[in-house]
Amino acid sequence: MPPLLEVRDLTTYFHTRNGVVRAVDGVSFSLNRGETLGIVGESGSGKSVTCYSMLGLIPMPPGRIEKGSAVFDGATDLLDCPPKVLQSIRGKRISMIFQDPMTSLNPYLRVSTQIMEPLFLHEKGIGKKEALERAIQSLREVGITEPERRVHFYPHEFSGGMRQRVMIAMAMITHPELLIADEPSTALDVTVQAQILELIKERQRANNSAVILITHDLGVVAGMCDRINVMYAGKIVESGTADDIFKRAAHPYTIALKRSIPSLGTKGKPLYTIPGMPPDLSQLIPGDAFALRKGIRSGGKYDHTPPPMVQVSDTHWVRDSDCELPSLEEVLDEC
Amino acid sequence: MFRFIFNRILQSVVVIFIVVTITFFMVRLAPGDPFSSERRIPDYIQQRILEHYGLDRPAVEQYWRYLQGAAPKRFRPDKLFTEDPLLNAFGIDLGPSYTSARTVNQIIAETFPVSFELGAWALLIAILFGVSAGMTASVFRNTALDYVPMSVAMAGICLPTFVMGPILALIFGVWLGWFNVSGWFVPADRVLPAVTLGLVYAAVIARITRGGMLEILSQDFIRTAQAKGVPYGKIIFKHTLRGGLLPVVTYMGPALAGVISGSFVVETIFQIPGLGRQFVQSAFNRDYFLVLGTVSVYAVLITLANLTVDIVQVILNPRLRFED
Ligand SMILES: Nc1ncnc2c1ncn2[C@@H]1O[C@H](COP(=O)(O)OP(=O)(O)OP(=O)(O)O)[C@@H](O)[C@H]1O
Ligand SMILES: [Mg+2]
Repeated sequence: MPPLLEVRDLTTYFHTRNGVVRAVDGVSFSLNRGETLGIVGESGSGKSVTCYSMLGLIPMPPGRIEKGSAVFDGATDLLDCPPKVLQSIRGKRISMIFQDPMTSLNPYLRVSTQIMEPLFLHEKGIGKKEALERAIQSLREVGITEPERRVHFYPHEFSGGMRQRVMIAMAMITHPELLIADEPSTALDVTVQAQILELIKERQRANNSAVILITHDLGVVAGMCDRINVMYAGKIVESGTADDIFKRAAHPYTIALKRSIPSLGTKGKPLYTIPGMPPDLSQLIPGDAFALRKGIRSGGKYDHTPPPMVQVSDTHWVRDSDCELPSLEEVLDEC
Repeated sequence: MFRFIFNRILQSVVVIFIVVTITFFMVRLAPGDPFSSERRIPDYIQQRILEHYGLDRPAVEQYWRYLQGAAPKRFRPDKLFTEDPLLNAFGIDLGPSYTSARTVNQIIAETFPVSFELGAWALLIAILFGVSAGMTASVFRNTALDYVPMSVAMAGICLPTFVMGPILALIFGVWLGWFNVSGWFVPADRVLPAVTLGLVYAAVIARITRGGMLEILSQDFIRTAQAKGVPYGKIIFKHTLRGGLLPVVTYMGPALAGVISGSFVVETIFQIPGLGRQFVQSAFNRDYFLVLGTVSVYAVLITLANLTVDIVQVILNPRLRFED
């Protein structure tokens, strides 16, 4: 059986007035049915753009998908198919939820209208009554009490966490084979975060969907993902199972990310922070982007040539790097 | 919601009262009186005339009497379409006109429908052209379909009515001979004045529509709709239009006020027997009661329009419904 999604060499640039922003630069990965893939990386590393590219959600102009393919279910290249075909897949077989639930629902339309919309679009001939029942049912499934009444509310009548639940209900109502969740819990407060992630896991199991979970928090993916891609400056720098990443991380950037998770650090010790800033993506980076980071020492091996991906084990790939992380003391001295 | 409407009606009544009061004393501050510009007449006749109209009384007393006459005293919807609906349906008596044998009530009853028709056509033109041009421009942003209508709109905004009117009359009335240059007799006579009056507002509405649509199109929830597989047409008409047109609705209040004051000019240019022309003439003639009567009609009209705009806004924007 072919993988559910096979992304090859995805490259998306933004042609802005200030130059070409190489937001996503040759990303490849694949995803099997029912599997959960985590995409981790700092802000601006290209996580969202990777997923938006696959669903045709990149604003064009300035965005342009330069090359690559994203074959869905062994048959359709999402990057190169008629708009009608893509439309019939979006919201039906692939759903998406977004970072900010406060702005992701249409404030001018009732929740019922918005939740039922995918049904009317993708399940031709469904009646109004049945659609409403399904909407109520899916609200109940995401833990919204009194769904019969609240389905008729407007989004502003819900709290942030409740709205994200509505988003999940709307995304799952068509039982999609793939759910893409772009930082679904980042904008919520800590207690609600865990609930939302738990809910996504639960809905995933109920529908046997695959999930791509985007986050900048390694801690979040730890308990949830089968595979993890670590992105840096538009490229994947390390890819492996949760064990590969958490027990055998090889790329210095992954190691730095791990050391900056609060819960994994030792109590009382100051927290590690990755020194420097991510690079400016509008400048062409011929070599190792991580080596350019202030505070990172590198031997100069990849100053002018792109570092290759090296296979560590059956499941574990890492981008070669001769960078060295500064010690905690050095980082603290810098501050 | 009902408290909101009630409050707004109350506010409107206060505003109208203030407008009437200010106008009452302002017209009297202007030099001269209704009869001073006429040929010289003997003093005792002048005295009799002033007495007849109560103009020899102190201003405050005149004001009090005027208010008593002008206050609505009843509401009989069945009498709305009689010869003097203001008096018959509402019990409003706006007093005599000094320069005409008819009462102010009668003059308004005669000329208001004309102005109303002109204004309605003008607003219709403004909304139809403005909204469709603005929507086209926003959907085809940064293409010729955006630049051309928006440049025309900019030109439309810059050209004042008193320039536009004669130009249109010259081209379509004199050179092409399609329409009469002035008058208000056949249906075709509506075209030039209504277009003249409506074009400026069409231009403004086009720009507001474009801005409103683009603002909504850049929102996150549009991306959500796209991700759900909503086709482009539905994204525009179902997800964008409502929020995108809200600024246009807000603008309808000022637009109506503008159409009313624009009608003074347009009715004069095209010699239309409407309320606007009466208003201009009455001011020149110091026809106190006629000035007051027309001003009151305009005040009521504008406050009514703003009230409607506020209510429509609340209906269109669910977020406003819960704020007080
Ligand atoms: N419309 C756009 N025009 C220009 N550049 C863009 C646009 N959208 C994204 N980018 C650029 O693409 C790069 C990657 O952005 P992306 O949103 O994928 O980051 P991210 O990893 O999702 O970060 P975050 O955690 O902040 O969501 C950034 O450098 C950003 O500036
Ligand atoms: Mg993002």
